[in-house]
Amino acid sequence: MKRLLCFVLVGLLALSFAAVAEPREGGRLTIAMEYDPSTLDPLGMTDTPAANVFMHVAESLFRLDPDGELEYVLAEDFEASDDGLEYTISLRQGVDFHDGTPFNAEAAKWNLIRFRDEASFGPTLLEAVSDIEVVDEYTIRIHLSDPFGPLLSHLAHSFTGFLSPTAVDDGVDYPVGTGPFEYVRWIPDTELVLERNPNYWGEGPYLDELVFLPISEGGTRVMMLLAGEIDATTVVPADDVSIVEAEPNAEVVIVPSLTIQYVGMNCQRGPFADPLVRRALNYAIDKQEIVDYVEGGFATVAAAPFSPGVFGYHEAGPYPYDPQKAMDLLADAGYPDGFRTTLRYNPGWRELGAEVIQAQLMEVGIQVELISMEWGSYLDFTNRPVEDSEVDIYMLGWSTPTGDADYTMYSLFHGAQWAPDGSNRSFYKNVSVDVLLDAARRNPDPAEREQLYATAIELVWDDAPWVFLHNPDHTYGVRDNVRGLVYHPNFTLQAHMAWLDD
Amino acid sequence: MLSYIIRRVLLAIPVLIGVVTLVFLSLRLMPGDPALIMAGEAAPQEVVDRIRERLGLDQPLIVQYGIYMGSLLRGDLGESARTRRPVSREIGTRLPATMELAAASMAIAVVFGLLAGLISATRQYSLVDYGTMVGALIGISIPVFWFGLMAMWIFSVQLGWFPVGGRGTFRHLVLPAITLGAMSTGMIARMTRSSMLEVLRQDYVRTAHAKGLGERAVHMKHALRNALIPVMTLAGLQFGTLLGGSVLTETVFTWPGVGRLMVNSIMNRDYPVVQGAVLLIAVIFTAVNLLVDIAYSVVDPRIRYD
Repeated sequence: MKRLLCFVLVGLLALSFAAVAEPREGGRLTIAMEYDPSTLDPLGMTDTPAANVFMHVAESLFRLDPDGELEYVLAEDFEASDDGLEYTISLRQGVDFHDGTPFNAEAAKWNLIRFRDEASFGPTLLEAVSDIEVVDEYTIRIHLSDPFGPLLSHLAHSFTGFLSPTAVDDGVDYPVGTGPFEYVRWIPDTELVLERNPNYWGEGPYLDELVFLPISEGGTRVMMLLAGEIDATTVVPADDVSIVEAEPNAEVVIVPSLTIQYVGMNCQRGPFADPLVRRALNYAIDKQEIVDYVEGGFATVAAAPFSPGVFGYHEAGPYPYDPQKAMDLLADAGYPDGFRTTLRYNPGWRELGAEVIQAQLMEVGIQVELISMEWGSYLDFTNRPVEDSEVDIYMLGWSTPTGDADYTMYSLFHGAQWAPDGSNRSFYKNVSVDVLLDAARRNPDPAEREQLYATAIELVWDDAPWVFLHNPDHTYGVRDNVRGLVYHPNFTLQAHMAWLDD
Repeated sequence: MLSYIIRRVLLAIPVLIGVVTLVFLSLRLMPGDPALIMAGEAAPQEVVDRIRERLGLDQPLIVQYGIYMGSLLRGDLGESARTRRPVSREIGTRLPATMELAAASMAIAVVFGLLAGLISATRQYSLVDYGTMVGALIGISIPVFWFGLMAMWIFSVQLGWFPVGGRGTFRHLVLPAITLGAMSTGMIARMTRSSMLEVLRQDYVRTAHAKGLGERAVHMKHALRNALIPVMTLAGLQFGTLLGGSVLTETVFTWPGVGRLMVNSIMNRDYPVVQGAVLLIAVIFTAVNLLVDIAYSVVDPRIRYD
């Protein structure tokens, strides 16, 4: 509580300063990330570091601000038809790509069609798009095969940043977008350098140079921050937060994430086919202890299948820690003496979490064998079709980068999304949930969608295909002369309006 | 001598083919689907299939092997599954960093290791001997992670003498080279000491003493040279290991070397890069071993390769 208050105060202080201080132009800001991007070609992008770099170079039609609100970027306005099958979007005028190619309706259409057909995220984000019509030079009309409520948040995904068609046709092997920064060079494992776009259409940028460094070791990131070799970093390890806070020149900024950590249960296998057993596990596991002990307190116990910052959030829980109730439920389900099972996880923090869970489940009579699997093997193992699956319970996480409930609810709880075709690795199926999720997906009206998701979440919560654990916080580290940096819940640091104070 | 070298180089060919084949097979026996890892856990099957096809992983194993060996013979290591850059470029951009770090660490290890070993051996059971050997033991057993982070905390954050991470200037090199060299220094010191002690017990050393040679001349001219053979073997193997890239040191100091590349590639199941890097390490080891063998004959003229 004290910490929270402290951050509120710091926030207010920062706001009052921001109101007074004029942004100073110039300088170079260095941001450390855990990894290098795997690629800067949006067609193959899957990771957060790529998104973090790419969003500074290339812009989408929309973006989500840190509160999850839709902002216009290359779009200026939109209008949806009543049947939800057509979206007419007017585009920003007078915008050029970094190579001078003008941005217009043709360029927008070319990018969107290319993403839909060739990008690895195409089937996930843009499947509903059947055609794009160029209405005039600065207007496009997107036609959908079916109504698709989350369309605009999908168009706000940072992977859908527009590239100059000329540059792509010429085979330029770096991104040429319309963003506040231009690509300069990328030396893998060493540094990725962007420079200010002097012709940027909007306000900013204030920095001359923006540099990203890949630094996988958390302790090293902290040391570099303290030594002033970097200005900001993603992921300060929980153990090191107090070290940074003790330092006069740096601080930790804590932001709730768009991620949930959970223990999935195979709803088609053994005792876990019975919702009573699945509910029992939710009562038997003390989520707060995992938050405190494993996450160092930098997380919140989950009260829904996704995190509060996402559109469609509805608080259904949390399940209180109640081992007696868990034992009663197990007895009702026909397991008065518990049973034996396996818990799979990948090494890292989940190892600690798995041990805590093992100890807690033992108290209600469930004997858990822990099986640690290396990440690649683990993904493979939990992705097998139901008839081949040997998974009992497993630990995984999920993020909602689109900021829309559909991305999580549909992919993880819809009966048609069972692995390996989708990401429903619990093999959960409830026909009522399927109907609600389909309806929410097709409905263009936000208020009605929220209603549909609330009902679906209540059902999923009671069916308990997961033990809903917690929503981790992001712990960003920053030097105290950095102003205007946006600490986004989607795990990116946005330097568009950032500047360096003396 | 020349015919010996040619014979050794020819012998290396089946060794390298064996290594390549073994790595090729073991990567594919490893559980974990590269296409799935690359697509991410949120990707639909369609995307995974698309990637698998692009990587040629939908082909039968024997066909994949044939294609790989074929292009290898033409000197083509393929392209990284993840970044789509040529493997030779991926490795080539990191090799100089690894070589720089390996050479610096090795220099530290040889100079300080030999010195410490010599001092210890000539003052056996003295306080200096005990002190040096405890130091060597610490150098061998200290965890690189801890040592590296402590060095950063003291010399970079507190004193500001050296940068924490990255590569470029000489000052960037100091801390990682000491961290990485600590273990080899300890090993060389211990090996030098025991090898010297062994030699000092030999008859010819007693003879040298008997004919009135000074302590220094006996140690340096008669004993050390003969004591060097096991030390050289050890140093050679250590250098090979260092050239293969030191994963931990490179990670802690964000040194852009081959070790980090290889671990990341294994995690991502980037088959072509792993294969290329292992092949490189095999070549380095073969070459270093050959050089060490040749060096034997220089140090000890009794060893001849005819």
